[in-house]
Amino acid sequence: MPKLPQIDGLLIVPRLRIQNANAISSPMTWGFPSMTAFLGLMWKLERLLAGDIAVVFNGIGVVCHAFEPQVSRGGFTKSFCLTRNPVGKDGGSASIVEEGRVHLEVTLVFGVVGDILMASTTEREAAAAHIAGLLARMRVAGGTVLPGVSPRSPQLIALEEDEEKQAAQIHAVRRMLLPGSCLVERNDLLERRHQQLQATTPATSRLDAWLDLARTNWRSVVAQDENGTETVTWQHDRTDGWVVPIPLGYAGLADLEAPGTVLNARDTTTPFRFVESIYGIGQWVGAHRLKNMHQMLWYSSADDAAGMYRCCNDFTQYL
Amino acid sequence: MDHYIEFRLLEDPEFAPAQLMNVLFGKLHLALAERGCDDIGVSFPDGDNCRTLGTRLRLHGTAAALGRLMQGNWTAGIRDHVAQSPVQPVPAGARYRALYRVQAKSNPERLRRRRMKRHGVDAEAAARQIPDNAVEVLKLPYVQVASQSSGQRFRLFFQYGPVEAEARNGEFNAYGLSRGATIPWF
Amino acid sequence: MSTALKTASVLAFERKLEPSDAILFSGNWETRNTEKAWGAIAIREKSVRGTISNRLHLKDKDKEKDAAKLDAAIENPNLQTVDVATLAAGQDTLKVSFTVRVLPGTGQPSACNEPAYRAKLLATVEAYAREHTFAELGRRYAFNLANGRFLWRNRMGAEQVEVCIQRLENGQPSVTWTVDALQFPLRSFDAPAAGNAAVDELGALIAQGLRGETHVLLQVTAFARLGMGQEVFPSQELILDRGRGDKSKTLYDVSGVAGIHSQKVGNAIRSIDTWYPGADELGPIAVEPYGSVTTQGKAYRQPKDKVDFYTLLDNWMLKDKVPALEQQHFVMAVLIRGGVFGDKE
Repeated sequence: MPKLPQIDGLLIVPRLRIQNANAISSPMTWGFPSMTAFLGLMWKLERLLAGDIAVVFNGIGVVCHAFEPQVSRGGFTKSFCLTRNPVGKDGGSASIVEEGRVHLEVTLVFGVVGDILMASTTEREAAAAHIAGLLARMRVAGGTVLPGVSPRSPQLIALEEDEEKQAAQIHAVRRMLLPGSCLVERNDLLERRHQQLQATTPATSRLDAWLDLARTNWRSVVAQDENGTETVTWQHDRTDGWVVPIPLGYAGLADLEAPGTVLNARDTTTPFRFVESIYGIGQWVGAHRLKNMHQMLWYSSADDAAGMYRCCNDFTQYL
Repeated sequence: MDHYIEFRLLEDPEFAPAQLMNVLFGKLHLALAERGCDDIGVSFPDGDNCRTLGTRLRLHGTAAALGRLMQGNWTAGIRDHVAQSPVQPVPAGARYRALYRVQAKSNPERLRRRRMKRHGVDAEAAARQIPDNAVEVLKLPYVQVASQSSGQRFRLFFQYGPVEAEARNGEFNAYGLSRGATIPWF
Repeated sequence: MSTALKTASVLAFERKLEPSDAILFSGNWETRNTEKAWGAIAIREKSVRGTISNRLHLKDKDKEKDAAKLDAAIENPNLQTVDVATLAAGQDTLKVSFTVRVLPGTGQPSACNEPAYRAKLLATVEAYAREHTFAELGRRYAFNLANGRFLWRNRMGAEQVEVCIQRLENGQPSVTWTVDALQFPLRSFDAPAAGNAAVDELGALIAQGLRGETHVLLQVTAFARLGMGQEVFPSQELILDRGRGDKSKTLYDVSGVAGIHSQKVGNAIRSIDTWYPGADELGPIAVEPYGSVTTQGKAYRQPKDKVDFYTLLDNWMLKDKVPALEQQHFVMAVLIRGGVFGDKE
């Protein structure tokens, strides 16, 4: 069972405005960018900082404050607003590739360890500002970071060992994240729905349960009053909060290949594997509902033998 | 009407000639309206018997009238999209013709309102008498402009009269058009 | 002698000039320097009846002869809903505002699977940067900010245009240039005497940013005096699969404020290519590997003329045939533009 690595401090980069982030991050879902994008961002940042600042990123949490998908408005069926690509060399119009784009405002919370946490306030502030400056020049989920006028500056906080003091710290951090929602993993809901469906239809698969959770199911409920008069009401099953289907990572489709042995791979130094997306259930939780920071942080687990490359989150462990 | 200025729309990677002509003509209309000019006529040398006006616009008038018009800065903004000639005399041997505005009976609602008023019929009868397909279809070149007096956007359709040997004088409106007068044609 | 160098099958570059969306405000020319005097321009819907002549003209390219279809169209007068945006009543000036970030690392591929090719590419770009310092490109990008090309249609209708460019450092403007944009031509890069210094300074700063010597973030604000209540032109959205009854023209807005897409702003800034065959006729076009101009459905840099990006780059990298200086500028400008250029057999 993978577990969130040690977290001694938090780096908070508040209110990043991101333009044209990718809104189609798996073959079956659209919407908020995948957590794989944010874990990738975290590693890229860590590599950029290597040797500069003594900090290691062990987890990342995302709080979404604004979500503006670039889709047509009005009408029940929406479609993505697309972009026209330049004409080809023969002057013929280029084929239109469907891309989904979204403008976001997010706060990033990194769970960190490292000597920088022991440094003075001034040094920590400088480090946080430096990291935020680097972030502003990076792509986040394919999107561009806009120069924001955030009233809050980035913060690097060393978590107190004393439980009470730490609780006060977390309380302050949570307030900083409002109003906003964090994405957490709720595989327990998937298991529960799977069992519920199996009770009536034993052949139900996890995929069925996942699809069932991904939509609103309305059912008629017949009630009888004391005179025996029947009344029918309609009830839906979206009572577990803001539950969403999300991609969680990748599962291998074939064996791991040695670096440089697969034609047209992106680089020649990394082992290569063909994969497909794996899916799970996520939930958007109001930042004020977090019991601790571990609940919002995501981390990765890679298991070459099992061919499983997954984003993990421990929200349910603290329910 | 013995002098003229010629504007030629430059080929543009982004904007079609018709779009540029709309803007150029709109600016001209604004300039003529603001100055109250009644001595400037327009012509589109490429726009005879064509579906589009082409890429040239001429202003006709006396050297003094054209000089007055060009004193202002009304070509700002569109200047980078046109090549503008100096005020120059009309070549010898030019002929003359009139350029009219043509108003299409293209809006059935308008025709029905008119019928209701003039013949005292109700809306239903008017709609029966003037079905949607009983309207005129113009195959004439046009510019799309916003009127300076009403602010309405509309299409201004042009039609040329026959080529004549003699010039006729008269007043021009703020679109550079005239009922009676001719402009040099060459 | 090692084996012959070959182009990477995966070769991609991120763009190095990163504009934001431009957003549109309404106000008055006289109070253009008063921040509070500006209101966001919202998109409005209006219903228009497609008149008959209108429909005929829309179809005149292909369907003119198809009388049956035309009759059918006439019998179904369609009430269309379209989006419009205008200045507020009693206000005469459009304000357009966006930021541009200049990123370092021109020529560093974001993906490249041929280490030898990568090394050659970096060495070539470094040599170019050392010798030519990105000065010409920086100046041209600066020019396209100064001339207000990014206003697109909004520039044509204007009587006056002022562009104010500020360098932002730590969120505060550190240098400001203000120019009369209509004095800067769209068809050449010859600055007016009064604006020459501004373009030189700004161009030098952008070049510095491209060389990675300093971080450059610019705030660009343009004021276009259009006349009272005039129509303004935000970007139009490209929506395929429109449903029945959907709007026939959707304009772009960001959180309710009319906007111009960042792609369109970027396109204006990189309209610096005057080095293609036919440039005398058409003037600067946006930097594209094949010199393609979408509105014309034409590509001006044809491989058969050996002036397209791929031919120039291959000659330079693989055959050590250094292109003429202007074409070197062009190749660098394509790398700054970014894109996926791999050679997949």
